[in-house]
Amino acid sequence: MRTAETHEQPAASASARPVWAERPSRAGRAAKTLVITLVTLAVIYPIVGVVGTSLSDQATISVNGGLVVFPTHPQLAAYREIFAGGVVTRALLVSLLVTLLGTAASVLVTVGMAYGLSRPEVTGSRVILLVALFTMLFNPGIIADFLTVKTLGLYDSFAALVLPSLVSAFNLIVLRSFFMGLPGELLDSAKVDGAGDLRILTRVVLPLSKAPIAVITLFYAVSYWNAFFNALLYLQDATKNPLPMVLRSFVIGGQSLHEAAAGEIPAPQQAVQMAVLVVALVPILCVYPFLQRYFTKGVLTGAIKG
Amino acid sequence: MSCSPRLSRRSLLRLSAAVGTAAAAGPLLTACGGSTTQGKAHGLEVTLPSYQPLSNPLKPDLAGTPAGVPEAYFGYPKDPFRAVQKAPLNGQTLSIAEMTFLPPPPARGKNAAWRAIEERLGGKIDWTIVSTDDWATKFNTMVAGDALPDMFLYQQGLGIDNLPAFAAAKCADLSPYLAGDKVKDYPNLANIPQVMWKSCIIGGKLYGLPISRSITGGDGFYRHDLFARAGVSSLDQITDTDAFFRLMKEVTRPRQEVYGIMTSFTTIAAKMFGTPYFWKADHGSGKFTADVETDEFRAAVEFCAKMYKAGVYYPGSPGLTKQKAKYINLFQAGKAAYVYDGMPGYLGPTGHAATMKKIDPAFDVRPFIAPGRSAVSWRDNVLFGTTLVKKAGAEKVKQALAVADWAASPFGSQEYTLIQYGVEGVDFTRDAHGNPVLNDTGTQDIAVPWKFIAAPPQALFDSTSADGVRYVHQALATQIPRAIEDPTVGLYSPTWESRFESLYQLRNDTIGDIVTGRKSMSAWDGMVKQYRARGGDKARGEFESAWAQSKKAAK
Amino acid sequence: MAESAPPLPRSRSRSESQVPSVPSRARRNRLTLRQRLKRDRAMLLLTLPGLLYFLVFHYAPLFGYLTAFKDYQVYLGFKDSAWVGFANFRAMVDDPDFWSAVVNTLRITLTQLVFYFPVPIALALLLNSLVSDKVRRFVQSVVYLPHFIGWTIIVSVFQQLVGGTGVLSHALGALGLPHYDMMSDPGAFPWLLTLESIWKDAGWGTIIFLAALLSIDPQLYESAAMDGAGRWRRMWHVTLPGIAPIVVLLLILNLGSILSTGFEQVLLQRDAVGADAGEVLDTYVYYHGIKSGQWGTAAAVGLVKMLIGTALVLGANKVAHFFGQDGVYRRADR
Repeated sequence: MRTAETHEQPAASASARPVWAERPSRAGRAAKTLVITLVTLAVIYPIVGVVGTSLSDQATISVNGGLVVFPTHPQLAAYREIFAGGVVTRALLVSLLVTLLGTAASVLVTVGMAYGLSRPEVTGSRVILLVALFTMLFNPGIIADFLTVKTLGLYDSFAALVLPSLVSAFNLIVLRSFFMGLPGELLDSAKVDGAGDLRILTRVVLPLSKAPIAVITLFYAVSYWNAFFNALLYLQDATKNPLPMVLRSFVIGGQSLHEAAAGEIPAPQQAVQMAVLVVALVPILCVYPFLQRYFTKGVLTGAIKG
Repeated sequence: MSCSPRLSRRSLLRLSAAVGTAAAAGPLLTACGGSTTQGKAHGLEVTLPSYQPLSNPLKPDLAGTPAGVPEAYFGYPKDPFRAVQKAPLNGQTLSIAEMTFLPPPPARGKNAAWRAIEERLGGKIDWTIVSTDDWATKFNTMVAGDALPDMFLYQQGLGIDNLPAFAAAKCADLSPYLAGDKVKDYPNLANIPQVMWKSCIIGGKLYGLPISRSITGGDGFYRHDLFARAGVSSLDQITDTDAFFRLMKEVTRPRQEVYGIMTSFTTIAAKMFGTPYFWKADHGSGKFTADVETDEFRAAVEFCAKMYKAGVYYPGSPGLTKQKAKYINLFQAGKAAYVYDGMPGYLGPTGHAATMKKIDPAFDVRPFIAPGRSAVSWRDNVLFGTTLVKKAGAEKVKQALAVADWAASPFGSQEYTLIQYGVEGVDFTRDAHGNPVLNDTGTQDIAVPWKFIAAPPQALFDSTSADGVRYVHQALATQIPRAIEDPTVGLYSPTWESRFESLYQLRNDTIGDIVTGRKSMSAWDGMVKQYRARGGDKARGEFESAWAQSKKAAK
Repeated sequence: MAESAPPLPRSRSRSESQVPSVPSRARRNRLTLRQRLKRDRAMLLLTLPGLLYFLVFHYAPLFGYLTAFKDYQVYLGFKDSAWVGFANFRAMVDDPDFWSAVVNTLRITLTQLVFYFPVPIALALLLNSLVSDKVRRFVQSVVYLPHFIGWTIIVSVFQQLVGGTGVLSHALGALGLPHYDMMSDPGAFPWLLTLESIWKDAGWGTIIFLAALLSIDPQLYESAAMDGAGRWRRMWHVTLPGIAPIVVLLLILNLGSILSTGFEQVLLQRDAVGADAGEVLDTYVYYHGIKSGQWGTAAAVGLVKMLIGTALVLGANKVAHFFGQDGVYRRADR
């Protein structure tokens, strides 16, 4: 598109130092390396521990105090336990579907609304923005939420896993803020060319906003993927349960039971607890790199190629 | 005999959470006379289901006692008997909601045990199965949305503030079906002692079906090998609290990372000093004393603070209270000589006994029995909870009761076997001694909480450890006869009901502060003052008048 | 839905001058409402589905706040539960434990605001400054992972690091110093929670800021460099103004939840330090409200939290306007 081309920028390529940037000092580089290494280790060590523990037997876990970094006798018992019976596999499918459809719907509605609210001169946009903002502060309680969903006839339906959390006011406000930060000249020249509001959205705003849209897509996908609360409140039929709801039951804490009966609850097996985490994490690990492309490339560059 | 032969009069226990609210309303102290109408609560006209023990076709390895000590078995009956002849349902469907501690079971189509049980029931059960952490949330939304199923679990702490009113509004009064000899229509329910039934009374009416437990949850577990190394080969050698203190110092060896106590000891210390269970009633004057007001409790907390200071608690214990997996791991790994956990955690393939044997064959873990002359036990685990029946026509209620009767089939019956082990050949096989061993399929299939619809009197059984069974039996044989009850059980105080959790938290926070040395004993007196001001005194007044009323009714 | 997240980090940029010129008020006023609606119909139509969602799923349930003025009984419902006026509020205000919980909550959230909030920004700047694409990609794709680990596991890991028999305690012991259990030190409680939050969420928090950093026009850097601006001056004059709008936005939104702490995180660790330091509003409501069926207490505290949060957000937005930032929404007169 013409408007984008006129604003072509040198790529903010991360692979090479831009010509205008000075050579980093030796001390600066050393400090940076140190910090990055420490941060990475601080993250990786426990993650490796989680995987290691998921592969260990209870005796090894107890002896290691709960976190096994090097499993001595690796075994897959915890994973076998989780996947036996087919309940988890089914829930996995439900979750994939809900995450896919839910994220698509949420991103669509959020992008539309964020764009609709991104021009202050639009009638009523300020009021509508405040209407959305206040929902971040409200919390009238689960019972009121439940009754609302039930009145709408959504009880025990798959729609109840998506609709009650269709738009996050946070994502909306963040995305709107990004949209408002787009170079004004681009929008103006598109307008001069006679482009309507919708055309500006699809031809100018969206191509220039790949990074923020990737970010909210990630946020939505992750929240659908991790969501159990809607399922807990709004589902009755256990076969509709999504993955987190099922996985949750593998790691119960039993806060509700009194001391004397406490022995009734087996302490959660830690290998299973960790395996549950790994199972939930793997799909995220698979999807993340695809979205990550949009955070590591210059947006404007992306816009030009798109 | 119509009155429970096993349990003394008025020995009811709370539903759960050791709290005042669940069991009820109104004075219902039971007189034990000799006719079938006994079990009638004073002033409340509730006739408890009469106790009709089944003639047990099995011969237990260790006998039960009239005081309530359960029967024990070293092996599983090879040829289970049939406890229920006639199918409870006739093609109908019942909906039931229960909590579970287990991962969700495979659906009916893939669950042989589920299908086999429904075949026996003669109808279908639509389950809502929610894991324990989420149960309160689910329960409240079901109530609010008028989506209660035909039968559902009730435990204290579910956020129902006024239980009698709730029950009156939503639940079926079971008295017309179960009172007195009427329970004979349901022989397995009639096999449940009256002490359990008393805890099923809400607001002066019988609403609940009992999920029986072993009366007391026990006194935790100790490492016999560590005690023996310190010269104590029998708990009888610990004659008083000083002796226990010396022993704890003796077993604590920080160099080897072995300590006396894992996480918490206050409950057991309270029992060692003879603290009452929540309240003490003076039978003459009718005056009530709260546990926190007694010298015994004060002394117990002081004792724990002394032990904590002496370094016999595992380091970081205060941070572990909410992390059961972690502290149980640490105990199982041999880091401490004592841990508090409920008795049901001991036996079975995943119990402490079996797990610790695997970690180190030298670990000899046994149920602890609070030592010393003044030691008592508490009736703190009579029921797991109760199942309530939604208000419905007589036909529906009778179906629900028949299903509960089926679920309460005793140890060693075909029904019990189906509930606990599933279908032979599919869910379990039998070992060389004929004992059932669950396979992977079975472990999944039996996760349907049939056993929480109603439960028969508990029997002790572990085919892998006759010693373990003996230890538990022995511990319960000591603890049950000396178990004291909360005298307010059966009395109803609205203040206690709505303030209990708050007061309980206040008390526990103060105990934590004092034991860990953040506060001195003087904080105890301040807490007692607050405890009384925030509802303790008002609850006392309500209990005392309820008590007086029941006395009057008894005359 | 749950309002108990530790301040989450995110962000992005825009600079005032780049905003499309807004039609002047005078011109706008010449149009009738009808004409304006017609002009804006595409924009409004795009807004409609989202607006409907908020009204149906967030405004319709607001009747739930009635609970605060009632002796709410779940089985009676909202209509039939008895009115109690302001009794729930009076009980709350009269309870010293409530105020102690407020103080603890603020101590924790303010510590997190000051010491947690900047961390993801700093981390994002650091990542952004990495020259090697490979290293950056790698670090980026591990650093967000702890976000997905549950609090039970995180607390357990911290126990192993700074608990009674943790690494820190052992190290001190080896140096001949007294053992230290950070988990049960009431004074260290806000710091412990902040450290845990940093470990769990700082990496995840960088994502928004990275997106913001990427949309800064590289030409700005280039021309600044040509004008002789060094590394730090470029950061001060280009980078920070570039991400300021999103930073301000997130700061304001965080203020809205100043009375909420991570419920599960605190519940798991509160007993270790005792109620005097560890009771926060969310746990107070849990123990003194929800657990004993005192829904009115819970709703009253919730309502107060909502009002204070709203006041703070609106106030902070005004402050942002004063400093020339948009904040969440723009000044009405612009």
